[in-house]
Amino acid sequence: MTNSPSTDFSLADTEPVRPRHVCPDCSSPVGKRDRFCEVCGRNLLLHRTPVGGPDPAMQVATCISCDFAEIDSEGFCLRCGRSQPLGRDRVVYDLGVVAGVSDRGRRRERNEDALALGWIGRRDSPKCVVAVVCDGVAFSSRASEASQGAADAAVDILLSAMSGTADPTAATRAAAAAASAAVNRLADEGDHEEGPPATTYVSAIVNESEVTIGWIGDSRAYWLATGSNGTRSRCLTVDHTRANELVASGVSAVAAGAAEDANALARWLGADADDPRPQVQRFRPNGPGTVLLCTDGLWGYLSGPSVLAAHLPVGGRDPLGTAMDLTEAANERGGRDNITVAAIPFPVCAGQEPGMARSDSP
Amino acid sequence: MTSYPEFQLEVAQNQYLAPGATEVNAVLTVTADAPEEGQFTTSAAEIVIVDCSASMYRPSKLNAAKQATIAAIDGIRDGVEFAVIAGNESAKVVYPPKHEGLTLARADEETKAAARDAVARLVPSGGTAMGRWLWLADQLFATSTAEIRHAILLTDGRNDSQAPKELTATLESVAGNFVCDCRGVGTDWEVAELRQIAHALLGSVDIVAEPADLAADFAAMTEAAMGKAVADVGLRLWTPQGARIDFVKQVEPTLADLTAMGTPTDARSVEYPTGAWGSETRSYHVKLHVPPAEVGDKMLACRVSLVSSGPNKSEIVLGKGRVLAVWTDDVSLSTVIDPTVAHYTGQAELADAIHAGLAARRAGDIETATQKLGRAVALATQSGHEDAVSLLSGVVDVEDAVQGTVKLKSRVSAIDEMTLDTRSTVTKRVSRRTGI
Repeated sequence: MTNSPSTDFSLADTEPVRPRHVCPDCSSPVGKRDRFCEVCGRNLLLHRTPVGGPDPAMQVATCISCDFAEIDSEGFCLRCGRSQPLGRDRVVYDLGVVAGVSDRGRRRERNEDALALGWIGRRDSPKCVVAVVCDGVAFSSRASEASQGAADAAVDILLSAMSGTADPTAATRAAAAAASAAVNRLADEGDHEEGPPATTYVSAIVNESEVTIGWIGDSRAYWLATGSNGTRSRCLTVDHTRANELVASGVSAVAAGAAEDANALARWLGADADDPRPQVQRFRPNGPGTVLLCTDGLWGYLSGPSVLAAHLPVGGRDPLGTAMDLTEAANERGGRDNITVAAIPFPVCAGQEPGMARSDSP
Repeated sequence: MTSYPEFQLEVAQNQYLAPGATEVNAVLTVTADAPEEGQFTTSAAEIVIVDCSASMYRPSKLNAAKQATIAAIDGIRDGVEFAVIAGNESAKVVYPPKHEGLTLARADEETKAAARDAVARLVPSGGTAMGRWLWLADQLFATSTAEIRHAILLTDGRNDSQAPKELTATLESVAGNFVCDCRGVGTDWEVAELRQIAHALLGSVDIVAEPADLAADFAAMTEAAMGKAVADVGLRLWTPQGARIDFVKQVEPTLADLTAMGTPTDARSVEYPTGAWGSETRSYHVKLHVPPAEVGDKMLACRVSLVSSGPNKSEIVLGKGRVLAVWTDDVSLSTVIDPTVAHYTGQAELADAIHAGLAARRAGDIETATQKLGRAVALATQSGHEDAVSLLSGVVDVEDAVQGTVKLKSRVSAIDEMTLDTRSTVTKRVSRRTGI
C-alpha cells in the first residue's frame, strides 16, 4: 500500500473558495474583511472538515497500488485488480494548518476510527486550530457512526467556542459533552445486539501560545518537538485503562500491568459510560513542534515520543506528510487496528497552500 | 435470431490467502435457462456422419447405424437445415442428393422421408478416415448461416486410413465452426481418437456397446442439439497485470481441459470456447496465479464473463462473476478449501487415476495398475460417484472400497474396459448441501 490518498479532502475540495472572495457555502461574493456571508450567514472565519466524513461512495482517482487511472464501478483497478479503499477506508484531510489521516489498516474490515479538524481565522492569519480523534469501540454496534458523530459534534463546539472568548478548558469540556450527547443519541435510535455504541475521544485546541488537550479513553495526544532547544517531545495524555486506574489507586506499575484486562478501557464515551467529563491538560510549548493526536492503531506500534518525533521534518511544517508517514509506518508494522493521526504544527501560522504537490506523497 | 437463455454464474472459492500465497482456485458454475421449445427463434443446422466402412458389414451393426441415423433425422425440427454424410476412407453426402450440389436440405416431412430412404440404401465398403468426414461436414456447414451447428459422428473402428497428423490438422482448421458429439459402437474403435475429436469440437464422447441402443442415443443427442438456444458462447477471463491463468477446465458434466483453447481478446483477457447452450448447468475450475500482495489487501483476481456475439458483430454479455483474493494471516480463514473446489479437484484426480491405471494395465504393469485403480475406487467411493464405482468393479475386484484396496480382475471384457475408459471423464455433480 502506498500512501496515496483515497478520499483526499484538501481545502480546495471542502471549501471551494476560488476565486477567493466568495462564500464557501453559497458561492455569493463576499468582502475580503467580511466575517459573515451576507447572503447565507455563514461564518467566513470558520473552516472545518465535512460533517459525516467522506462520501461512502467516493472513489480514488488513480489506483493506490499501480497508479492506473481506470477504476471499475465496484472499486477494482482495471489494470492490477487491486481493491481500492472506499469512503472511510482511507480518509485524508489537508486543511493546510492541520492535516489528518484515518486508515482501515491491514486487518480490520472496516475503519471505525474518525477524525474532524477545523481552524479559525483569515486564510493568511489563522488564530486557532482544533482537532478531534475518536476510536469507535469495535465490539459496539455502529462504532463508526459513534466515532464520526462524536468528532463532528465536538469540532462544532470547539470552533464556535474558540471563535468567541471561551476559555480553552471550558471549550474542551463542552465539546466532550456534545460528543457524548451525539453518541447517546445513536444509542437511543436503535437496538444494539452487540452492545451500545461507544468511542474513545481526544481533542486538541492549539492557538498562538497554548495547547489544550482533553481525552477520555486510550486515544493519545503527543507533543513532538521539531526544534532542538524547546519543550522536549512527550506524551500529553495518560490512557484511561484498567492498569492505569490501578496505578492511580496505589498499586505498583508491575502488578497493575499483570492485572487481568490491564489494557482494557476504563473510560469511554457512550451509552453505558457514566462520566463524559474529559481529563484536561494545558501547556505552553517553548519552541516549535507538532501536536499529534492518534488512536492505538498508531501508538500500538510507535509509542515513544522521540520515535514519533523522528518522523517529523526537522524544523519544518508538514502536517499532511507527518500524518501519512506515521500511518504508513503503522501499516508496515502490521496495521492490526484502524490508524488515525492528526497533526497540528505549533506555533499556529499560515501553512503552505493545501493541495499542492508534495515530494513525499507519490 | 438468437433467443438468449437466462444465464446465472456462481463462483465457489475460498478468497482468503495466506501471506505470500499466489494460487487462487475457483469453480465457476454456469446455469442456463433456455426458452421453452416452440418459442425458438435460433436457426440450426444438423449433420449426421455415419461410418460406412467395410467393418460395418455385420448386419446388426449396419442396421443399427441406419436405424440410429433415421432416429436422428426424425428428431430434427422442421425448418432446421440438415444433411447425412457417409464415411469410409473418403466421405460423401448421402442426403441431400448430389445433383443439388454442396448444400444442406431444409427439414420438412418430404425431405426427411427422402433422407431416410437414402440412408436405408447405404452399403458398407472401404476404410476409415474421420478427418475427411469432418472436413466435408465443415464444407456443408459453411454453406449455411445457421447459428447452432451440430454434428453427430458414429464410428465402429480406428482411424486407420489417414495419418494422425492429418486428423489433427483437420480438427485445427474446423474447430469452432461446429460442435460434434462422437459415438463409438462395438469395441474396435479407439477411445483416445474419438476423445480427441470430441474435445476439439466441444462435444461429448460415449460408447454404445449394444448396436440396438444406438437409436435411442441418437434421438437423445438430436433432441439436445435442438434444445440449444445460443451458439458459440465464450468464457472470458480477465486477470490483472502480473497474473496468469494456470488452467481452465470444464469439470461438470464432464472433464475437459480448455486451457490450450484460449484466445486472447485483449491484453488482459482470454476467451475459452464453450460451444452452444440450451437449458443446462456446467462448471469450470479455474486456477490462477496472482502476484502476491500484503496482508489486508484485496484483489480482483479474475473477472469472469460469458459472452456471445450479437447482431452486427456486437457482443452480448450473458453472465458475470468475479474471483477475489484477500490476503490474511488468520490461518482459520486461509487454510479452508472450498468444498466445491475440493470436490472437482477430486473428480479430476479420479479421472487421472483411471487413465493411468488402465494404461498401466495395458502395459502389463500390474503393481501400478492395482495402485491407481485402487485409488480411483477410493476417490469414487468418497465422492459418492456410484457410476464410477460400478464401472471400476468391471475391471477390479474391490476388497475395501473406502481404502481403495483392490485386485485386478484376471479376465476383463473389452466392453467393460472401454466403457470405463470412455466415461472416466464424467464427473459426479457436487452436492449443494454437503459440498461432496
